[in-house]
Amino acid sequence: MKPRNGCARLLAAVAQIGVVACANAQSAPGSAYADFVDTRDPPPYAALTPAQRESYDLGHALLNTQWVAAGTPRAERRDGLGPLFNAASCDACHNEGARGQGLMKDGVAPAPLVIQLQDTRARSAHRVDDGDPVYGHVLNISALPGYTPEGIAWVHYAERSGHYPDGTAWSLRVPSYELRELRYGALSTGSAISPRLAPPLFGVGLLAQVPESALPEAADHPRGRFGWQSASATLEQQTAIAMSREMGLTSRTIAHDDCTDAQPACRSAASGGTPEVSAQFMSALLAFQAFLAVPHSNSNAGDASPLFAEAGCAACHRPQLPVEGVDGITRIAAYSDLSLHDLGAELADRDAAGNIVPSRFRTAPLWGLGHALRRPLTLLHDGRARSIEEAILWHDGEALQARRRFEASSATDRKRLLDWLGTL
Amino acid sequence: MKLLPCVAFALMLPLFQLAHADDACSGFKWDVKHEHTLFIHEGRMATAGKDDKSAPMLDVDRLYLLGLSPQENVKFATPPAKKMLADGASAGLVHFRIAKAGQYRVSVDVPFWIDAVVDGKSIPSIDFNGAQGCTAPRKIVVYDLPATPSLTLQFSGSTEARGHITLTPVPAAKQ
Repeated sequence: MKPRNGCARLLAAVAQIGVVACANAQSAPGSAYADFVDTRDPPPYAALTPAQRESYDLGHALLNTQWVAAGTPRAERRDGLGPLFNAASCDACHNEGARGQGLMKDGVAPAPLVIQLQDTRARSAHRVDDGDPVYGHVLNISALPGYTPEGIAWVHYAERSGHYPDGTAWSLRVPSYELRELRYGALSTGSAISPRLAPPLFGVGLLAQVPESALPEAADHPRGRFGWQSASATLEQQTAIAMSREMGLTSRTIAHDDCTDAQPACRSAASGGTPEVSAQFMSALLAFQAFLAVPHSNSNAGDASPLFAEAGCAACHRPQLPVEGVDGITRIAAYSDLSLHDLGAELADRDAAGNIVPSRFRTAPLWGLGHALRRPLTLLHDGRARSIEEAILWHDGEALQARRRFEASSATDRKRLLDWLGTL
Repeated sequence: MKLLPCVAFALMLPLFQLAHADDACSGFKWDVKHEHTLFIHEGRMATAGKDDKSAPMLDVDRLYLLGLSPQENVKFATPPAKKMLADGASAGLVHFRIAKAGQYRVSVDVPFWIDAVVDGKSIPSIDFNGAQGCTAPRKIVVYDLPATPSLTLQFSGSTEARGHITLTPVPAAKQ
């Protein structure tokens, strides 16, 4: 919250300039945005060479491809799934590049709502990437025939109501997680439970082109920019992690599945090749992500970017970032600073005993929000927010002052701001 | 006093396993009791066509167990709208007579890609939903269909050589 407390007005003014600049850039040639005429055929943001187009199309086909068990007849190019996994295709969680859909009511966490597991004791020893010693980094909810899934997560929601200062009522839903059918018994007491909804892929190739110099110093955490907690520095790393942990697929980047020493059957399962995702396929998946555009919103709501800036939102949801090495595009309107922030105890993860695990989240890019409105919204890292308004009301910690300014604004201004966010 | 989210754990218990399928099938965002009821009965056997001409005419509101063919042997009415690798995949075509225009659900228990085709044109779906752990059905896709003597449903990219399907009208008040 340092920037907002100290010089929020100045930042707001600077951000406002940025918003105007980016709004102009959106309609100019060389935009990150494109019209998604048919969502089954998501377009690139740039005109591609024939070779690039071929790679992009192959990557798109691979995104949609259902992977199958090692040794499946006539399927040598797409075998090697599992044996433990969450989804058989990338598309199951990133449907046509869009964000994953969470739950609208109590129920079993769907594949896009991944239950990540992290050894908090290792984290305190600065080993930030250790998973549960038995279950690994992810609770795998599916398995090939002959294997047993690691378990499921049942999500309960409790409504919490409140009021704005002007008396307008709001209601948020508070999630709680019950892990059931745990194949190897209870989790380690030191394991953090981190529910993470699959983020959208739109524009990630441009986020990769933001120069290091544009990002704040990050001495106390990894200098990543992908994933809810910026754990991955590159798209390839992020993609390989998802394939390894959530699909049981090896690649040139990660040569093993997420099987621990406590899972000998998983470790000795048949392989679909070395690696299972070929280098050509990995390159095509990266090409698809590198060029995938951000969908235009159909909304024509009025510009409320000054309200956004005045509330202090733009301090972290930066209206513009520079990019390098992209023909025709020098700035993007991702509305993120790609940095980690403490958003308060309520959004933080819990360990197996229910204790709060201090958590920081990368500022979620807001571009593409308008496209997301096509379906019922499940926003934030765990999909608990059913609307943009609810997502704002969950902000705490470093974002507390910004949230309070939003709450204190008039009902008319709140609506203007929310409607405008739906245009991004 | 603000409530805090809690994390609770349960060891694997047979009761949970027994309860899981029904619980999971309640996870759809719509009321799918009708489809669920159809899926717990035995499906009528049918062999999907390898082309439009050989596709069988099926009945609305009935469960079928469809036999599919290797996808490389299937000639589609229109190319499947979903690009994907089809190595080793199974596919096939069926027809339905749609007496009344409106919203319909196609429900399946295996991972198919579904194209609804009328007069040679693919009709985009208007919604879809699945429920983790539920296979009866696994996925439901909703289409807004015109009245037509011959709707073609194309199934492609299947990892299984057969699967159950139903086509049901969306209850007017429940969609």
